[in-house]
Amino acid sequence: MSTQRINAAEKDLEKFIKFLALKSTQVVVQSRLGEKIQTKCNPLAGNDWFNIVVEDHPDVHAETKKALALSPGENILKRLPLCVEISLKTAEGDQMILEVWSLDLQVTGGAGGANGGTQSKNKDVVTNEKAGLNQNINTSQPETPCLKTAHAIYNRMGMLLKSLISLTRATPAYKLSRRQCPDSYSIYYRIYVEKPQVHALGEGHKTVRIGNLNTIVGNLVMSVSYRTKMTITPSATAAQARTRESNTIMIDSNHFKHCENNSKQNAGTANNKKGSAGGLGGDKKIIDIEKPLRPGAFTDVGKLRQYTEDDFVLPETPPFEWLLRKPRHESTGSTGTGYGGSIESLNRKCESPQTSPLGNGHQHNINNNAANNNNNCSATNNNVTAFKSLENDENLQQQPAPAAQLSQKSPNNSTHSQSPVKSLFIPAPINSNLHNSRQQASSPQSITLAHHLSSEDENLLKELNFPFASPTSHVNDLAKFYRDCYHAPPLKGLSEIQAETCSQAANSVANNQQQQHQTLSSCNSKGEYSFVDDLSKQLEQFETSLEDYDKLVSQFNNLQTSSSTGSRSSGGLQMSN
Amino acid sequence: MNARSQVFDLTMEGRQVDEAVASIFHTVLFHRCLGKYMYTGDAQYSIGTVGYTDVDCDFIDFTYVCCTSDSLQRTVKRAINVFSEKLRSNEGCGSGQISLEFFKKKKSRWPFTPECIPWEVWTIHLDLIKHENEDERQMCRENVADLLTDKVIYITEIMNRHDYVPKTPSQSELDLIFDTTYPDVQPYLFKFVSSTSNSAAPSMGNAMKKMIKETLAL
Repeated sequence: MSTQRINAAEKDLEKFIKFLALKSTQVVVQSRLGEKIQTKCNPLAGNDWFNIVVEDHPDVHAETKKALALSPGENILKRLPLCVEISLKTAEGDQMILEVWSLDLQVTGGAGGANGGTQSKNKDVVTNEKAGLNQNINTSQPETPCLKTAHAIYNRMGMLLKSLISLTRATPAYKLSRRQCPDSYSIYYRIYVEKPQVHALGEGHKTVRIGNLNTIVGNLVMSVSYRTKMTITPSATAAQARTRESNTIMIDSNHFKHCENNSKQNAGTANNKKGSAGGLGGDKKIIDIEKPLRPGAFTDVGKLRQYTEDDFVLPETPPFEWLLRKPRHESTGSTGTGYGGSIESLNRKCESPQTSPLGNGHQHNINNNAANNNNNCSATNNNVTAFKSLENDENLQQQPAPAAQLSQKSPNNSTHSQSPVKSLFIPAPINSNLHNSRQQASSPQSITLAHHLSSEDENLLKELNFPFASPTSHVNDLAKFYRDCYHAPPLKGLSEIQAETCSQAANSVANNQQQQHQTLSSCNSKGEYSFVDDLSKQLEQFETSLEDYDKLVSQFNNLQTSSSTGSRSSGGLQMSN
Repeated sequence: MNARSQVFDLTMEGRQVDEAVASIFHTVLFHRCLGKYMYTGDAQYSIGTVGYTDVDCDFIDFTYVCCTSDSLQRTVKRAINVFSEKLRSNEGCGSGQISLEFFKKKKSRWPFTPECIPWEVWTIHLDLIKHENEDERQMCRENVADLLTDKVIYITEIMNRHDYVPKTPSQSELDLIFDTTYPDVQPYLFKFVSSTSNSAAPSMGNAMKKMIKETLAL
């Protein structure tokens, strides 16, 4: 009678232990999936074992069954040291065992009198166990009363499972598993029936006993051993696979943590970091944007350019900038060396007819072209030559070649497809006037031009700035005075005479140019604001009348074939204006 | 009867208090919550199941588990909030303690309220510190997490000892042992008791007043 009852109790216990084993593996593996888990309470008497809602993952269930390999009717107690091993594998193939969770049955002397068959088997387990698990279990072996009623055992197992759930979130592997990412590392599990292989956990591993149940078949112990030193020593094969000169990659325990905390560094950079630690990513420089760039060790700091806020403002290009002749800046730069602002530009304007006929614009070109007509064009029409030379003009302007005069003598160079009319209209004083605008800091042109100033000029400007002087300060008066003296305006009469000669020269070539010249000269007397306005207006006008120009070109072609007179073509030009 | 008492000493920043206390108390409560009892007869009942939820801390590098019960979480949160606000009110360097007391009620004669007999008390003693820089703060974030890990291990150890836990009574006396007000879980009766160093120590007069008030309330 009593043996029957014991057998029945043992059957119950066996069933409980089986489900405890199944649920335990579920809890452990699910906690390492890297996700937060939430299961719902079911107050209306759910069917979950131990009154705890633990969802069953089919894979884990199958794995546990496979590991236990229970044939029908076989006693689970014989198969018991059931372990779940959690390991980490890096993207490089290095592996590290993080922890081993185990459910074991220790047979005590007094218990299990009825099942002599299983006892011998379990004794082996115990001896193995004592060798494998460390002192924790041996030292604290509290005398706990042997639980007899199924109800009490069931409740205790529920408590054990709750403890397991709580503890799985507390060990270091939990944090690692939450941060796993295929680019850096993944977490793996392995379920096996064997004594826990704690030797793979490295030095200083910890063992925690989650709980124990003293039952009639023995002492059921649930424990975990986990690694405390998170340092990977790569295996030989992994090292070969990587074919790197480095032998070891030391991964700090807070390595991945650090990557995660800095939101800027993602898993990808984590890999980079790892690589560079191993001596791979030496050529990859990671620039920390937060840190200011510093000069090298032996750099002459005085020679380094100090960037001001203005340097970071991109020059606002004026509309239709592509129409402008670029080398003009250079030529003005060269002629204007040593002169500041307005003097320079004015001087240049006056000089231009004599020294640099090309430098100052349309009317001069026409002028010179007209002068050269006789020499250059024997077979072609005057106007065509003139026009072609303009084309060249543009050609050459686009190249930075300083020898401007040459262009006039070589009309044959002009073969490029770009419509020459586009370049036709660059009024000379644009750039020179832009020089005037240098003093307006906000003017975009002034920024571009500032680069062309000689160093002498720059120094001068810097000195004149008086950076810390308040607007009302007397120093400013001094500065103004100094500036005025330095940039003394040229004699009025002289510039007028020069302008007159310019206009006369233009008149002598074509009447239609006079109109433009007048606008230009009026622009000179006006402020640069109005001039820039004028310029943009003109450009706009040209842009809108592009069709007209095209017509004009085709007209010229017709003229060329029909050898008509130049007056019509000039009329065409006038129309375009 | 003597109640078992566990005391944890923790030192941390003010903003970590709520989460640290919650992680310890929720871990304890998770172990001390059963499924709802559904009585089919006076002696027959079925037990519901308890779900669990992972909770990530914001100011501590830690995750803890609690019962999936909004009402229980609200109760715990409210109690901890009151404590934490009191603790943090005096510019960051206060200290105080909060206890989670499990008790059972003992019926008493009519004019008196049922007597509450604590059988298990979990106390957290807190000292607040202030960090000067971000490095220290980061260090502390990890240190506190390690500390909490130890506490959780300790709690599970205690829970699995074969210590006294009130026995499940018959249906009529169920609410002398369990708090049956929660719709989804059934924890043992519990309450929070807190005190901070800056709050006035409860004087004898106050205690008497309270006692009289409680008596008259019935």
